[in-house]
Amino acid sequence: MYLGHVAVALVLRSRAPNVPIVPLTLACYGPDWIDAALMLPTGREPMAIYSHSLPALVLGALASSGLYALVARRPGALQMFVAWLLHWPLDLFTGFKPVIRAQPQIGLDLYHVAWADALLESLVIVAACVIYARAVDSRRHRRVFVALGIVLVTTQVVFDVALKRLDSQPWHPLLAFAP
Amino acid sequence: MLAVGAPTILPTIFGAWSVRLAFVAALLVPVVILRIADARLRAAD
Repeated sequence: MYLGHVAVALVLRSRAPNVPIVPLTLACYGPDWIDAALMLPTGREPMAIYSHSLPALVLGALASSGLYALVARRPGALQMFVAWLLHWPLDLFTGFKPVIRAQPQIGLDLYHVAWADALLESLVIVAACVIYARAVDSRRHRRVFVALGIVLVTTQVVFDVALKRLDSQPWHPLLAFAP
Repeated sequence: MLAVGAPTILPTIFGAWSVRLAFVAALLVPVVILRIADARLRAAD
């Protein structure tokens, strides 16, 4: 999932307005940032076990919340932990993710059905914007939330169009495996 | 135009690094968008 992860940051922020948005957004994409660091010497795919497997996910969530608590010294460690953990279930909709070991990987693989990915992520984004808007004085901030939703959905659609141009693989969802 | 052009133009300019650069840039996009929105929300208070 791409901008759908933003929805987690928005919903968590609506419940905890004092948590800074930048670290929260970084935590929502935490496993991807691990990938970004690890993919420098090699490709991204072999690194999934160190970033997107369930043990790596829990370790990353603990490390991020601990680091935040140490550095920021303010409330929000729990939100960092939850934001990092929720990356995995959202990613299951769009790609393949490892469970415990590198193989097998499971997922709905919606990145290969661009319109479905754009639709799903747009719905998640809009729902999160509505939840956040309801949590604050939405009359005064309505324009900001509308603009935010439009920018996020447009960016997501641009991403899906670009992905479709690069994509040559068929859709192949995989939600179960034989031992 | 960006979506159509970027996948062609980036590899021409950056070669093998284009995937890595595009990935990091894509990760920075939501941070920038939410930071700007947060500043606007605070300004409207």
